[in-house]
Amino acid sequence: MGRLSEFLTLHWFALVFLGVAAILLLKRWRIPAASLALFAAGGLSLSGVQVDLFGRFHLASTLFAVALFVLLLSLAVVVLGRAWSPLLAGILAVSLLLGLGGWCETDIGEALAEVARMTRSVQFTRPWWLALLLCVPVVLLLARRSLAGLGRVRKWVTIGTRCVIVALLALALAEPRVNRPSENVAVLFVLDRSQSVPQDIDPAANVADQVDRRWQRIRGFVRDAVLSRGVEHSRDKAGVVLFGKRPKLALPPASVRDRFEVDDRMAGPIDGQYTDIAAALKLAVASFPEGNGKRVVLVSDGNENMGNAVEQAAVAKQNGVAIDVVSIAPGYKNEGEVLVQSVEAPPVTTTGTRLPLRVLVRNTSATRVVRGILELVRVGLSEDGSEKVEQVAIEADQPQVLDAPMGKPATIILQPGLNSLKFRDTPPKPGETSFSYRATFTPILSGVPSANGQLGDIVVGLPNDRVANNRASTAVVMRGQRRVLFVEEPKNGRSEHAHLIRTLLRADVKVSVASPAKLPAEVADFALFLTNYDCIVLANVPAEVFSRDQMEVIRTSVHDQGTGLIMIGGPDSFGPGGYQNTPVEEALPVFCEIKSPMAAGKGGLILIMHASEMADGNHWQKVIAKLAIERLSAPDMIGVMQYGFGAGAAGVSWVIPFQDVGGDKSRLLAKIDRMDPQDMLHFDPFLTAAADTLSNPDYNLAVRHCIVISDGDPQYGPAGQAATAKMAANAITCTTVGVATHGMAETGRMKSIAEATKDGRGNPGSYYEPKDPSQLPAIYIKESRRISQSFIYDKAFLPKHLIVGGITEGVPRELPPLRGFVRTTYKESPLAQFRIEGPPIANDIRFPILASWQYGLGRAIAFTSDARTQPTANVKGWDADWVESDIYKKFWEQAITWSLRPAESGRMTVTSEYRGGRVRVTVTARDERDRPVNGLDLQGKISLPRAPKPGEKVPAVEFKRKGPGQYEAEFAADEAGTYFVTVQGRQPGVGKNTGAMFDTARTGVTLPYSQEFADLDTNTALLKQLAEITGGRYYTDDPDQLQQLAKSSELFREAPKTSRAYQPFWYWLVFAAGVLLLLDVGVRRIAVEWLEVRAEAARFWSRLREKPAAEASATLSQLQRRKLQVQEEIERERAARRFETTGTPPEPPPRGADEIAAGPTSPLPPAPPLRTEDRPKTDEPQDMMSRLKKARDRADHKKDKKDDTP
Amino acid sequence: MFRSARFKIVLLLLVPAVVLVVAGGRRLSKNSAGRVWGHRGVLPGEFVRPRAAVVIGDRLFVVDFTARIQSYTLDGEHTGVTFTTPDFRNGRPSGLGVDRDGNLIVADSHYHTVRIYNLDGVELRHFGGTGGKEPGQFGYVSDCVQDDEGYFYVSEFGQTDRITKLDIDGTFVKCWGVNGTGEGQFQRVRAMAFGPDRLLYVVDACNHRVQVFDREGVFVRAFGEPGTSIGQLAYPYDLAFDPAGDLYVIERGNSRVQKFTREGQPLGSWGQPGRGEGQLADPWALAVDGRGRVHVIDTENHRVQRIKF
Repeated sequence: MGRLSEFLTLHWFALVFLGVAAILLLKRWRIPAASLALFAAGGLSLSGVQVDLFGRFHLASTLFAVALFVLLLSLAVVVLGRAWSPLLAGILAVSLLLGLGGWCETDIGEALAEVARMTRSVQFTRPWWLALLLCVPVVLLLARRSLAGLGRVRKWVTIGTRCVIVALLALALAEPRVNRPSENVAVLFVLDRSQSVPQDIDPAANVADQVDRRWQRIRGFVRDAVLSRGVEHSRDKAGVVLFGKRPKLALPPASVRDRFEVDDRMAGPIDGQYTDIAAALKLAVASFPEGNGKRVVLVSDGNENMGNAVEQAAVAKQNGVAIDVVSIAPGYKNEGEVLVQSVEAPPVTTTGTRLPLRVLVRNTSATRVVRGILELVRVGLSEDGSEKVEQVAIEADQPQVLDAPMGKPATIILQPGLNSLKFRDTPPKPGETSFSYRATFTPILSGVPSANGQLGDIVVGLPNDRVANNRASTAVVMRGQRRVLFVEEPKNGRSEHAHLIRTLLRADVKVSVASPAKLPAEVADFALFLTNYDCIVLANVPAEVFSRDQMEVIRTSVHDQGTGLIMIGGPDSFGPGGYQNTPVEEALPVFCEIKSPMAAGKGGLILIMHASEMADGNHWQKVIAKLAIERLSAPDMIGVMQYGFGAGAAGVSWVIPFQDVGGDKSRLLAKIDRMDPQDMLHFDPFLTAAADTLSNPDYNLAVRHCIVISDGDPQYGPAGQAATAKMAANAITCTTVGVATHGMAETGRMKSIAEATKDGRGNPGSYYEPKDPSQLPAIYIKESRRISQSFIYDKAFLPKHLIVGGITEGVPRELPPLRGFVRTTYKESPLAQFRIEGPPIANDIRFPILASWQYGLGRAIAFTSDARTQPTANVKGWDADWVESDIYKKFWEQAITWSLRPAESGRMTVTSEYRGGRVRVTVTARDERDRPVNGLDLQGKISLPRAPKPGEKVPAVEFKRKGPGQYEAEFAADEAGTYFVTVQGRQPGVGKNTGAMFDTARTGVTLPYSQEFADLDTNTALLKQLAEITGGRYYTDDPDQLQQLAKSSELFREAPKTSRAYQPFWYWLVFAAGVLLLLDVGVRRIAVEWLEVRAEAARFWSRLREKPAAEASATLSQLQRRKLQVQEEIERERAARRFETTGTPPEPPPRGADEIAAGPTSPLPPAPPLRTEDRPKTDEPQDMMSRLKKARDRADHKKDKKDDTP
Repeated sequence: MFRSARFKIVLLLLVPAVVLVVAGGRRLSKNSAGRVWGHRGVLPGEFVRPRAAVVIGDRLFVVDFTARIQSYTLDGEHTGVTFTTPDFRNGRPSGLGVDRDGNLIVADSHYHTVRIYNLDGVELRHFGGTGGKEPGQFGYVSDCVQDDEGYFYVSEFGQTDRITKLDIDGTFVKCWGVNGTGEGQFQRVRAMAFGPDRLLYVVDACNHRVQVFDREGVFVRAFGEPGTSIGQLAYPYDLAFDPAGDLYVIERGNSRVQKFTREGQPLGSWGQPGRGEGQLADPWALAVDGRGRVHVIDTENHRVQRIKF
């Protein structure tokens, strides 16, 4: 039955043709009937038949082509040799029809079926216009009468045409739209590569050849499912998304035929520490090609710990995407696992007492006990940023403790389930810094305890245990000590700000001096380190010494934890220090950029870019070039060169021709985006071009610099050496950056380029070899800083004291002069104050010396002059006159005090705990007499464990009162690390943040490891839910089921219809109406005489074959007979009418006309002998002419008569 | 006459003839000289920035920037052979050649090694492997050819610009060349080829010339100078001889193929920078097949253009 219906759907068109042929045969139209029948027969018998003949051919198309070729050949034979065979012609006709049928019958059938399907989906936007279709019968009626004279066929053709035109116009006005349903399915396999997916490793295999058999099975399943999806799905597309924390599109959807191997390497490294199913689904939904049915096959264990997959599934459903899920290891439960669940310590210490500590360790096995070593250490950060690690002693009288040697970790035994182990620690002395506790468990062996207490079935270690969850830590934040972190870079081993630091120490400010290199580099450590301080001073420190993450931590500690921030000026601060568009600038009350063009100290920079083979190298090159442009000021000049094909023989292509940076940098930045450097092979032409450009005296450059970024591979020859010598002679420096160099030869080459160049003081260019692309920006900022000269004003001036009070309380309005400052732009904000002003440019561009503002919970100050004067060492900085005056101590003491974090009095305490993906923060407020304080206005801020991405939203903390003096807030937390929570409480005021400060309190909450390592079983419920929401199916990763599923091509079954935009096609209808209109006019004006056409064809044929015309054919004589008959009839009619005419005798024909008539006739066959009554026929034209002439004469005559009448 | 037996015989002969012509025509149209094929991708048969090529019999081997060496028919159909060198984290092979037994020579540049593979991608042997400046050590190997007596010639760049001659077992025989612009000096030898005159032709890329040596490294002649006119060269990067003994040189700088006599007389050029057919984007290599057709590796367009001129 199925085969019959398949046959019918494939060949219905041929069957229809056969039917029509039968009808025609009944009507005795033998030739058309035979043609149709042959065509149908071709379709039925030949379609799809292939023959093996020098390769595989379709029989039908080959037959058709051969027949066509022979036909052409035989026509050529006719022309050349006058030979023709009707038999051959017959064979050819039959072959042509059969071939044509076999070739295109099924295609035509399919196309028609498709059109029919589309027609069903037609929708009308303005259906009421369809009422115009009622005009069709009217047209029919009117036309029947008016076209009666056309003859039957022409009449009906015309009427039909007109009706169709009207119908088409009516349809067009109704604006039809067609919805073409998609036939093909695109299947995206979304594969979970996170670490919660249990591995399936053959225990018998060597460690070296251990492979995850589960992953092999999944890969095999995906490959088989795609490759064995069957011919009918051959146009369906398949692709692969791999995901962990972030999804990556490993194979974009494509109609793959022969190879579909999924490989981890395709997508680059995947962070398996988290599972974000939602992000993976989102990427999948976005990756589907339009116009296809869309299906996601999600292969996962369902343990999501970021994002919300259910929400995303709803979005997927809206987008017409169905999700089939393959649940990995349903019902799996990891029983060979030990987790250190948490380290519990009181959050803020009060000094003196021994701290009770608790470590919770879970043994997931139901029967086995695990013996191992549990170590708890206290990790403090000393002031220079190094770690101080101390062992914490366990309480030995607990049943789990087997051995607790002094100063060494304890050996313990873990019973099935949760084990709580107590420790005790003497907290550090007051004034010590914040610290963290870290617990680590190392399994030794596991076994099943028997009744006598002996262990049986002992296994060394703990198979299946994941190391990542065998440790946990917690941070202990100390209460504020009103301490200041003073960050400066010692110059030649000596502090630049020694005098200021001494002055502050004398004023009892607790100042710790740190050089930026010694600050903790890790985000988490740096954040914890900063909690020890209530104010950060950045004294003439350039931006590149901090990583972007470190700067972000500084920013968040000001904004979210209330730390103060002071930036003190100098040649390496603000703009010249490269702080433009950095998180630190965001926290400052000034912009580090100056928007006005100034002519002083113009710098010129040329960047030479080589395609980088480092991971994301080209991306970083763009980042760097943009940073360089952003760091330059308006009067500076920049040029960017790259190797590009087609840019002349040497390949030197200027992405940005050497030009002024100007006020609007967006144009230059856009050019950088379009940059596409290619593999440079020769440094010389580039170095030559850079040397020539920068040494051009027309540009009047004060500082000239060139930066080359390359893998060092290009050739550096004599011409290049000449160029670097020229640079040295013209005080141009060239810095080279080796990116992903292949070895020593390249390094040496790039070094030699840098060292060959010299600046005005004889210092050579630098060579850098960053190992990590994220180091590149710092290098470039430092390098492009060499150029920025226009920020610094270094003449003496009298600062203008605008606001007296606050920081400058008690400082006189008349200030001593300063000898220089760094130009910045004041941030116009209601929270900011412009306190002291420097010399303006042209009175309208003003520059702050001192500005301050409130930023989040913290306060920030920008002092743009410096503090480098040291009277004892006789070093005079810009503030030399201030040092000598009595305002110096007062000013700096007040500035520091103003910016310090509000005091933490202990009246408010904060505790926090993590449970099920959320952190709950509880605040208790009590006054001096220990009475609960209600009605506080609490503002809470969180610092994330990592630097937030630009534009990322940090979860908000909203406190609600839960009891007397108790407030609570919650936020979602899903990333491992320490979250710092800072709460400021204010007495109720008139508006927001207006009441008096009550207290500030801080706490840290630590998620020891990603939730990924806490999940012990698979989450099939979520997967089922995803399938249910989108109408997909649920499978498990049982090997047999997977194999069956792959073979069945079930995953490529029809997907939900996508609601594509309806395509309008009314213009095609109007076009068709126009064409039909032409046809209508044509049919009425031109009458085709079929006999005549046939005759002409016959005459042509006989000419071709050069047969005497007389033999031509019966057709021709038939035609002539017919013509004569017609003429006779006309003559008869005329004769009958002649009596009714005016009776004027016909005039003799004009001579010329007579001549034509009498002249030699065309090579027509001799006509049959004329009959006498035919005679006047030859006169017909003359007759007509004379009658026309006469009519004109008559008219003239009448006119004359008229004219004559007065 | 058409009903005569003779006509029927003619007809009988004619139909197979037509079939032959049609079928053959199909083959012919595929085998005509001009052809552009290939596109960017990482699936088998596709490539990303192809960088070197060699014709071995009716196979074209291409290596690309993903370090995959793939084999194609001369019409660009992938034969299913795709393989890589053992490691390519330092860098990808940048030269392909053929030894006198018809095996594939791969210049594994960044591993200072020459590897010989059979046509199915199975490594038969390798030599070198030690980077350095001493005789017998290699810098970055750019190409390797074998002469009819079995000697291998290995060109290198990087620390040293020279050509090393090895015997059939890979034992060091001699080496010549230093960095420089004089006769017998090099700035980046990219490729070598033996001419019908049994001399070794070498493209000296950054000196924009072709140098010719005898098999003992004695300088014979050089031709080419920097420039864009006919007869001038800009970064010649690969060269090959056709069966008639004419020399084809691909120029990265001028994005074109130039044809020379052995003596260096220019015979014409083909190509210009661009993305269209007949245009080249940073072409790195070429290969000439037994019918004198030039397969141009159009690197930045990720394709191969086959021409004959």
